[in-house]
Amino acid sequence: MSTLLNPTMQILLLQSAGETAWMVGVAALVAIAVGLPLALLLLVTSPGHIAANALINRPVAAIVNAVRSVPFIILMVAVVPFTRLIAGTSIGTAAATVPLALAATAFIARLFETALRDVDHGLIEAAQAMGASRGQIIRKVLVPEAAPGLVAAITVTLISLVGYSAMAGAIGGGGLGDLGIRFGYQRFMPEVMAAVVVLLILVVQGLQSLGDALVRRLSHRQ
Amino acid sequence: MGASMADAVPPPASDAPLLRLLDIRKTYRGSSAAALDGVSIEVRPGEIFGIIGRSGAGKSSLIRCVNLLERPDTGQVLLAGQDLGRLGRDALAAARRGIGMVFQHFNLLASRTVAGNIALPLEIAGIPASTRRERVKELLRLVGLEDRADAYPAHLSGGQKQRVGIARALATNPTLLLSDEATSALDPETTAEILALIRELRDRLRLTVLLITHEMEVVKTICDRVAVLEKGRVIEQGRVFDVFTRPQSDTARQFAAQMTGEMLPKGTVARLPEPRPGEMRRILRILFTSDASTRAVISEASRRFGLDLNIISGRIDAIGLEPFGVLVVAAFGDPVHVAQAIDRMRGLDLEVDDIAAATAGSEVA
Ligand SMILES: Nc1ncnc2c1ncn2[C@@H]1O[C@H](COP(=O)(O)OP(=O)(O)O)[C@@H](O)[C@H]1O
Ligand SMILES: [Mg+2]
Repeated sequence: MSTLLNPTMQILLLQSAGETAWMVGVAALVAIAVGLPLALLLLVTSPGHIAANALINRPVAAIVNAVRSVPFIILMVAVVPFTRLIAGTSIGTAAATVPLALAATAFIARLFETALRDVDHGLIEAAQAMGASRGQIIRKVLVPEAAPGLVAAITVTLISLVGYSAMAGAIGGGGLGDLGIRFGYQRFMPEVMAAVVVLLILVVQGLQSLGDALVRRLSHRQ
Repeated sequence: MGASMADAVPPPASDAPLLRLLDIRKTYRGSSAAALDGVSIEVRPGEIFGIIGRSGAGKSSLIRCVNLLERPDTGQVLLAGQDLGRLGRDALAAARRGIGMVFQHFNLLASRTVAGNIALPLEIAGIPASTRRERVKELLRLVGLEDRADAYPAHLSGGQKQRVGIARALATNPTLLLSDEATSALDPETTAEILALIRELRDRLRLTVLLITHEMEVVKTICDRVAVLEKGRVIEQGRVFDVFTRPQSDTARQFAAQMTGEMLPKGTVARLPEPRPGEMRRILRILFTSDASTRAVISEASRRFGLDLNIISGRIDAIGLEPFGVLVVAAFGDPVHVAQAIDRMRGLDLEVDDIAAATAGSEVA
């Protein structure tokens, strides 16, 4: 317990929590902003859909799958040149955010696509019968109808990002997971480890409850 | 029957057809048989035209070809003379605003309220918000849902959902309403309500309606004319009364039977006396479509041909506003005389079916 009462340690915990929040937050924002259009592209260009186009669909799907199949720890190292291009450096919190955002984008794009695909095809037909353009179908039917599913996908992604961000220590990203490894494990300070674990559990629980509440609010199905 | 004549709808104008389908053909990819095999129909302004057929006959494919949700392989769709197949994307979108469509499973957006759902086609058409609000109110009144404007579809009954579907379909003031089995997911009472609403709207808004159904009740209740679809082909078409009182095909006959019924109470046949030696017994269903007096025909047959005729059941019904009667009788007598009596009745313009075969194994309760 004494360790946790130490002001230096407290500052370190807070700072690490901040780093985690930053990495997860920025990566999630990028993932949502890029993932949603990507998911829509994957969906509407799929066979039988409103803009079916195998020439677009197949390569995009292949890239997304490729990113998803590379283990995160390897992805982090593999994209170092790209990271340097974006973040200007290959180590530190900002640098760790780049592979995180990349992995999260591929991850969430597939979840978004599934949520969007769940929208009853009859609704798309009804909109087409009204003379809706493809853009209108996307904006007025697909996205609003999939909203609960999209929010659920965001929740899952945020929680996964919290987990992935613990690996960011490997390239000096910092964050709670890194703190736990460095102090709790390598310096034999089990209280730090315990504090980190408790904090992470609280964060994940909080995200899940928040996400679930939002899904309930958006869902008018029952 | 007589009373309903008073609120008779003026006969639909027989001007040039509003909708013409010309030799529509469609074969789905990966399928060997054509879903639509050369369908041509004409729908006149102000009429309710029904297409009836069994499941898989091609009804949905056909109605979806009208607004080109499905592209026919060949054939033309002419709406008020305009060939929809030749329109570019924007022109087609505009043409679709002139065609409302209602669906079996309603297809309402769960994320929008009743008012929001009805506003959707108006938003799509780019109508400003203030005009939209007024129009939505009008439409809610039209279908009797003023008090449910803010409800979500999940909290509506099936009948209410279809009312929303109808209001939404009419939002952009279409001239043609397409109905793809609009009442097939509803119970009989709600079906009757929705059909009455469709007819009322047709009268009030001078709407033309093309509907597809597998239910005889729907056609009988509101259609003026009907086409019977089988394996992607129209096998019969004409005024509903004519098609189902004088069906030419087995399919039409079976649909007609749904309506007239076999009307043989269980055990009736077993209780009938056996024919005497040298005589025969036949059970006949006689359909009266004109004013020919039932009793006169029956008593004449019995007098002229020396037959014993037992009336098993009788019923009067109507298609639209036209009455018809069905009588089931057991005829006993000399085989030659029975045949002559049947000929005589047919000569008097009566439909006479020998249903004895059907009674041997399967009596209808
Ligand atoms: N999208 C489709 N792809 C392939 N076959 C289809 C499709 N839609 C309908 N069919 C086939 O076309 C035939 C007619 O179907 P449909 O028009 O739905 O008939 P109905 O509405 O009268 O039940 C059926 O054999 C059906 O299996
Ligand atoms: Mg169908």
